[in-house]
Amino acid sequence: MEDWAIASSKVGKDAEDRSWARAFAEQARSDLTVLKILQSNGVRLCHRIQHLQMALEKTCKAALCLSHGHETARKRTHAVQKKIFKPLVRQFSRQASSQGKEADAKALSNLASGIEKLTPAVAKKHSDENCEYPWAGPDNAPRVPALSQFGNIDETVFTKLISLLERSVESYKQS
Amino acid sequence: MNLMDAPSRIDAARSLAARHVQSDDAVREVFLMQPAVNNGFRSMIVLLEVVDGTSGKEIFPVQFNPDAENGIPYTSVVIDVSPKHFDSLNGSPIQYKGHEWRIGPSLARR
Repeated sequence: MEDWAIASSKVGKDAEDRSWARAFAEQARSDLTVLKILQSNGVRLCHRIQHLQMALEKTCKAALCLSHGHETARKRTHAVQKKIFKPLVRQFSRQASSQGKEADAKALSNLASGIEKLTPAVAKKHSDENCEYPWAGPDNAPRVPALSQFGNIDETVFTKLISLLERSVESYKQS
Repeated sequence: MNLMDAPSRIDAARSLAARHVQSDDAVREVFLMQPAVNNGFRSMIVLLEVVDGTSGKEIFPVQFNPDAENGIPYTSVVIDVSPKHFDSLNGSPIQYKGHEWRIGPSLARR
């Protein structure tokens, strides 16, 4: 395995940012590996959403480190995730029929936006529904993430998003 | 990919622009950005993409590593702008990596 600390100490800012991009890509790769294990074992949706969200965030951080530097990546994530994700979909989409691709781009963006809203920190600004902590429903009774169906999440797009993130991560690991 | 077989930067840029238009119906048109002076970034593909649904007026480039396996052996950068933002630019250059970039030719459009 490459030594990121050595790589970043011997050269300038650009190399340091690249080493951080690789680091985030490597961790995202690990999140995706865990997610695929959860997928194949039929683990509840909330846990799969959580790992998909973590992989998505780290992949976007890798892109942010390479594009704007690690300092920017430390300060900005959720606000810029959407700005990064759309170009990411275009860049790493597989060649297919134009009709299929267009549907994928929209569906992937919707899923990415949907799972970001289920992050506890972001959920507070919306409905409080999230994938980690019980929240109060409209009747004030507690709702349990492990028992929630998360109706705004399209599970059929899940696998496509995992594949897209895998391609993105492999590319950013080459930074 | 053998270096002798590598596509030219402009061919690779056209291919990438076409792929982006094909992959997302929100992309209206893709322009090649060109450095105002020879700033050492001439081996980089910088695309300005006019995209429906883009919000704000922040220039927010997203950089990608070379992808020789898929015919793009150059670092590429994508900058999304809304149609309204693109109109307001009125052809004026933008700043990226501390240098001025001019809006060049259209490479692909929906």
